[in-house]
Amino acid sequence: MNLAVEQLTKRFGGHVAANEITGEFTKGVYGILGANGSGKTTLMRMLATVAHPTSGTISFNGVDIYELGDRYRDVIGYLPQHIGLYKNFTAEKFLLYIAALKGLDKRAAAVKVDELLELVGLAHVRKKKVGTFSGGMKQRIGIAQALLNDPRILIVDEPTSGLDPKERIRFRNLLSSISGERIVLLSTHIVSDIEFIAKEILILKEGRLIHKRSPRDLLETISGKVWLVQAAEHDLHQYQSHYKVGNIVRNEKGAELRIISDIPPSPTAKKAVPNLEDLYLHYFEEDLDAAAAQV
Amino acid sequence: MSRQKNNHQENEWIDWLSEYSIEYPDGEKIEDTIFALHAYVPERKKQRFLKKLPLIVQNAFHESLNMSRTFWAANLIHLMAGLLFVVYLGGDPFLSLFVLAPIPFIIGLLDVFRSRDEGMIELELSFRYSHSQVILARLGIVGAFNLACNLLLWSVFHLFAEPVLLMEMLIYWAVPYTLMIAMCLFLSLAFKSIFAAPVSLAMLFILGMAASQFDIDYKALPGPAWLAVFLAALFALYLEVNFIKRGRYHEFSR
Repeated sequence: MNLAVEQLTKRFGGHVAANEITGEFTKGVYGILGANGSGKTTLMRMLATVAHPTSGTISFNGVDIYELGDRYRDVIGYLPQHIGLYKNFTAEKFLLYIAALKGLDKRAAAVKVDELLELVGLAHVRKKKVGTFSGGMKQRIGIAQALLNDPRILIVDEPTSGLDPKERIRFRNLLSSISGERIVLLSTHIVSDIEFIAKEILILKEGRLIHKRSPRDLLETISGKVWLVQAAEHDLHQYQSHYKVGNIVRNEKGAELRIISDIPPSPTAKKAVPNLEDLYLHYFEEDLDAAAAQV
Repeated sequence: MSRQKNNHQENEWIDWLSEYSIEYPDGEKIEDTIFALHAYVPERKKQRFLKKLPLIVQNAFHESLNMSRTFWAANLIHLMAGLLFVVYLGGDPFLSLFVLAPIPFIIGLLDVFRSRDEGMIELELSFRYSHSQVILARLGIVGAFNLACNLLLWSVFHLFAEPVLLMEMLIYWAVPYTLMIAMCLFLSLAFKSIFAAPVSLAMLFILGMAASQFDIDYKALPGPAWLAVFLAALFALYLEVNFIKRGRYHEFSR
């Protein structure tokens, strides 16, 4: 099983949302990491056939997905970033309706709906209207609809944004448990969503794919660039203006800073083991600054 | 002795044949190959046509089960109000149909574009049945049911109130009806149905009031002119349906 994108580009007028993205996906979880506006959603929409690429190709097992048409849509499950549910439908009716749109046989659909409501922990509220559901429950009904056709490719776009930590962990575990025999493409800007479950991480920046590697290989790229520095209170501002500071832990001597830098930020700086948050900061610091400025 | 010889020969054969044994690919590889080859299997032209027909009907049937109560209520009210006004209160059947006929269609458009207006379209675009097919199926239900109700009312009026003449049917029903639904569909395509429906209803109400208050002789306009307006409205509807078929009614079509 192989999904491949080749020179995939999407333009909206003069704006290039996805720029010549090339890559290949096989069984396993792929985390797509990027700041807001990096092209994650555009890439996901193209893979789900919701948006057409301006140029480039997407192929499944060597055949162009637009040539495959509904045969491709039969093997995908998609959970968009903003899922609008029919609020007046009950959870069960909503899933049965989606099953019909996916072309599932009525009897098979009923069995599958039962199974999935159990899997996502919503069996007890099957007769409740989805309009009354919490954010986490809506995401769970979202993942259930994506799994209705037992997809070989599962595309989930920022599934945990807006969820509380407990729901996020629950969702991550659920995704991990169903990822066995599928290609799972998960886009996020929350590092911990993919840290332990991704086989490979794709880093997108301004529409370009800048890395597609295993988490270990990616961390290798910043090995030796993460430092722990003990600083006095009055030096904090100076460090913050000169370096990428990932974390500040206050202590009795001032604060311990986690700094990403090519060179040691101070003679007393100690090397630290990099993690994916450091990696995110390394690639997207300016995006964090822009977000902070907006706040 | 001879049995031993036979066994020996048999083993030789097995050894010899085993040199030619091949390893079968695993299940997943076989499945992938079938999937890949599937794309190159030509469909029979005749079958393709036959396949399409029941699919639209199937979709329409399924969608009809999911139409909102408001739509069915609008149809029921349309029928009841028409019968009450004409048969029991002795009202003008033409004015009744002029005002009432498009109402269920206008209300029905809220259901037709519900997925686009409620943010479900992104999801539905990734499904097996294309979103345009779903929209057209819903449009088919709304249009067909509305037409059936109108024909029922016409039949009742013809039998119990006033004989219906073709020319009057064209002037007081066909022209305003097609014009109104063409306009409402246009507004729904351009904006949200939640905006299009009240605007169309308000317009219909104003036109109805004007028709009942002022004694306008609509028949003064020659028949071919009415026919031309009717055909123009039908052409507009045809263009709008084609617009839907090409999927040019949502943000993802860019």
